[in-house]
Amino acid sequence: MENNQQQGSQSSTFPAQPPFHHLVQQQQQLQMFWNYQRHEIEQVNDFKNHQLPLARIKKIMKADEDVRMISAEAPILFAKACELFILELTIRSWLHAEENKRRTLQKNDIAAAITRTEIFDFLVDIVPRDEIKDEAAGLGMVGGMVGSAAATASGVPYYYAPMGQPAPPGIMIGRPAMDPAAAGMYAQPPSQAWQSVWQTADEASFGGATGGADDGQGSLDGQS
Amino acid sequence: MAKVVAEAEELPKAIVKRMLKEKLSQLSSDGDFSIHSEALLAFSESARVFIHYLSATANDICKESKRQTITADDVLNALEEIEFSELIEPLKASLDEFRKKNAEKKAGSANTKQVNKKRKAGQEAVTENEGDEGNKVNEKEDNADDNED
Repeated sequence: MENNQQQGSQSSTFPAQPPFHHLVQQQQQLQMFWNYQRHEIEQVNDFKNHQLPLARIKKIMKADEDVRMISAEAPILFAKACELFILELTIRSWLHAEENKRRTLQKNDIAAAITRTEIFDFLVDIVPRDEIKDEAAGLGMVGGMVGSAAATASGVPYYYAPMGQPAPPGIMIGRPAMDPAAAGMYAQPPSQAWQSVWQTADEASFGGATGGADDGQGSLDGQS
Repeated sequence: MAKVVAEAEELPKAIVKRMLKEKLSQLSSDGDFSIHSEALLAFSESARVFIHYLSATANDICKESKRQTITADDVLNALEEIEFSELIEPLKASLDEFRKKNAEKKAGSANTKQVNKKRKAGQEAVTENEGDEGNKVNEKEDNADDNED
């Protein structure tokens, strides 16, 4: 019989655990979530009580001028997809809040969830990370979103690693809009993603910060 | 009243909040949780952008097939494309349920239409006695309705 002690031990010994266990944990929880959802749908499907109003969904869809005609079934799917999406975002955000020993879900929890989840890349500009002080502090690798230098579409980053910060353990970094594969992955050497980030940083003339970060990144010499 | 329409449509806050609360009460070990108001906004915004993202993708798929109307299949394929394949199965189940209920509704409403027509005819007979001209017009419309079948 599987020992689910991981659940209990997570909050107390968290900082000591390597990030991989945390991921496995998340994966398991997500799997449980999806099993639950499937089960729930098979049980109860009351279409009178659509949670999200179909008319509103349709309006949102049509705000995109490219979208013309929508079959009657489409908004139904959208309503459900939206609901499931919100639930998944909730789970991931809550995990982050728990990591920080909070019971209040905050905006930066959502931002963290977005950063950590590759398929949520499309949201990276919607919920910017601007309150990561508590994460950078003691958590080291996991959740160590040091310097979310997420680039906007124009390539200019809108958040920067605080000056004097030593080179991050090298994992969580926002990435330029062009390179979705590099970001959101734990234990990935910064390499290319960092380079392009620092390059665009240069364009935005964040000279001082660049100098500070170079201390730990020998390979960035000559970037300017 | 002049109406300035520049704001994007939003999902109803109350409903999003309800969804969050339901989920969080499951997730939190002791049911103790709260949601910062900014977080609630972030959820609504994210969901709205998700709708745009999914519909744009579905729209592209639809256009590639040289069609004009976004179908359920377009949406399901779009989910695959944006790597939300996990949602596909639950959504298919929902769709099947919806189609079933729709079919039942159609079968049911065919009967109700008959009942309504008879009722209407009965009502017309009563009011006509009052000699109101308007009723004659109504009668014509009623006859026109009969031809619809």
